[in-house]
Amino acid sequence: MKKLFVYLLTCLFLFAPVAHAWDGVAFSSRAGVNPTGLVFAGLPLHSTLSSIRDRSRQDNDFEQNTVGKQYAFASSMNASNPVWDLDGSDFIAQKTYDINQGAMTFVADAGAAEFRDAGQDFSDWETAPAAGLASYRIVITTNNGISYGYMGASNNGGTDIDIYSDYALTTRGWKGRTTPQVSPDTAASYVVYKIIGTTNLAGDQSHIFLGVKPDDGQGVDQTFSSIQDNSLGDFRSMLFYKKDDGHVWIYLSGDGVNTTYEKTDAVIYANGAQASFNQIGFVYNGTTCVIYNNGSVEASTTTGAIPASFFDSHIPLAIGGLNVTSLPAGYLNGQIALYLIYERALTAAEVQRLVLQAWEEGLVSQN
Amino acid sequence: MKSLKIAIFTFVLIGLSTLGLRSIPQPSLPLAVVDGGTGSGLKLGDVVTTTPITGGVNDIFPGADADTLTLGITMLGDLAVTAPVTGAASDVFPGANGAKATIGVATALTSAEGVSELATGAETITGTATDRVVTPAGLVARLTDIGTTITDDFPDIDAAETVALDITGLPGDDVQSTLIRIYLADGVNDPGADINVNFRLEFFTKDTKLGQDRIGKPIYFNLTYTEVKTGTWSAAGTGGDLDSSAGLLVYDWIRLMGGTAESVNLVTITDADTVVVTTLVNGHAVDEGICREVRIVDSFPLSDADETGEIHAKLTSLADPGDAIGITIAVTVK
Repeated sequence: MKKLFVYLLTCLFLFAPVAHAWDGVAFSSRAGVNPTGLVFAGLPLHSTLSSIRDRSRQDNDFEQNTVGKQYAFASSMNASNPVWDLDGSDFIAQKTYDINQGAMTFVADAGAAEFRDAGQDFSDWETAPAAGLASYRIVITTNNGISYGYMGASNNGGTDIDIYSDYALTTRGWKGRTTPQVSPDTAASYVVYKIIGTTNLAGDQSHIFLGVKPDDGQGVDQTFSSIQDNSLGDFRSMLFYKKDDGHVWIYLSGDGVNTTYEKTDAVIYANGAQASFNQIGFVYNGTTCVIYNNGSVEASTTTGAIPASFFDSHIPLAIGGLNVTSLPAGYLNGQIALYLIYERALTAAEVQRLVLQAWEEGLVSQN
Repeated sequence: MKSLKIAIFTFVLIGLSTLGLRSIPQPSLPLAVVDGGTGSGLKLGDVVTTTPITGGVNDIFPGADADTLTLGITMLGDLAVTAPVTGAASDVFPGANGAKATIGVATALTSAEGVSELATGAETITGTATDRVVTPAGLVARLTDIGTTITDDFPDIDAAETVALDITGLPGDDVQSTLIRIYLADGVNDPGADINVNFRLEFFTKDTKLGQDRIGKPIYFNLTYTEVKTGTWSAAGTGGDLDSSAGLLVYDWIRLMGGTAESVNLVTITDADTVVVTTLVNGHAVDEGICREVRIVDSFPLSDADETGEIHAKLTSLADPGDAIGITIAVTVK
């Protein structure tokens, strides 16, 4: 699949009608911004955004999801426009590895959390505690609920993996249902996915879509991005979406429950077909959540209390939908050109310059 | 009696002299000098080192009593390393006491060593001389002289609108931009309230400014206006407080519009209303304007197909700035 993705990406690179007289011009010297803290660049295609492309984290392994199916997102890239085309029935999510190999058991490793798949080799996903922050998370569905944790060192020939409750790999333990290593929990299945950034998007962060164009500005709720599972009441982190009335909303959860949201005061998307892309985003700093539209701060109202940090949900990041375990929902019907996530609260000027760069580099036209 | 003793003593001396030195021939004086003569004779010691070399009437060097002997001296030490090469009256280089000696030195060439004149700043900028050496000052003069700079103002903008400008006075019809600076006009067109507006700048080959004649792609930037807040930014100081730092980023150029306008770099954004800039030359009082100065350093052709020596530009404000604002553009071309 990786070879297919590379092949498709190469083809699109070669044949996409992207041509500028000044392709050699330095990356937007008048805008002059390339903010630090970039932890994810969902980059469908563009030939000139080298500074972002080089710093992107394509190894986060995103893929397109439909109900009951999974395939590489490259398959739906629009060859004539550098965008992801989403048709309202699929979305893009952090790739998860769902590959049970054998008998699964929770191992009480001298009282410390550990998981065993008798047919698995966990060494590909292990991170020795001395090596630093964890790279992968494992989410296990049990007969008593969801247990998840950060993956430390493997042992016992790779069949066992040490489980930590913190990203820094300092405390052995589980999250979610926290006592699975003790009977009677039984593992039914598990998935593994790569962690984004240094806090799995729990701390200060900025999400910038450069840009997004729903086919219909209102009509139904449509998700820009989410770390959210609507089938569960306590595993919600962030939900960034367009409300059915054209306002933009962001749910921010510090406890896994949706009680706080930020909502634009004005309608961002008019009803009906959209004529242009919007550069839409938000910046969260633990105290405030500011919504940006085309590089400018959009007046908004907070309902509830802004959490000091996001809930460390076990749900992978999804683009263009809600990555609901039981049934995906909230699909976006439209196009996404570039999605940037920074593990830092960008300043207003940085967001503005990013938008100016996007226009100047021809990433997306203004219409 | 005493006279007798003297006479006897004298007689004895004469007698002794006659008996003891009778074998030494008595020379006749003065000595005859024979050209090419050989044989042994009276020998002289070293020549004295003081001048003149002279003596009494019957000496070898009898001074004024005989012809002057000329000694040829050919041995010299090193030249002094200090200038001028000079000395006392009788030295080889007698300074003010003798004629000046001229030392001929070859002119430096690309193929030979020699000496060369230093180039002036103007000669360095002209860049045609091949017999001058560039000085550090000349190098700075050349580097700072990056072409011809033409400054003009766009028509005032007071809405989301497009204004056009034909910049005249270019040195030709096919120039190359090296620097474009854009900022709110100094001292005038104060919009009053802070603004932060996005703009699009386009250049065209013809004064009709049609899309088909656009040079390259549009250039996007933001111009932000704010003011000195509660305390004067003093001359030789590094900034202070301002109404808002929103719209500015570290390393931006900012234009201090009031008083004697100047451009400085933004070093640090301390907080929402305090910044640090590079050292100011002039003071700037409370409520005087501060704006971002956009600098486009890309080099690209600004050809004029009309052959009128102009740059054809359009500037579009992507939002209403509120009150009317004037925008200056300074284009440096080669």
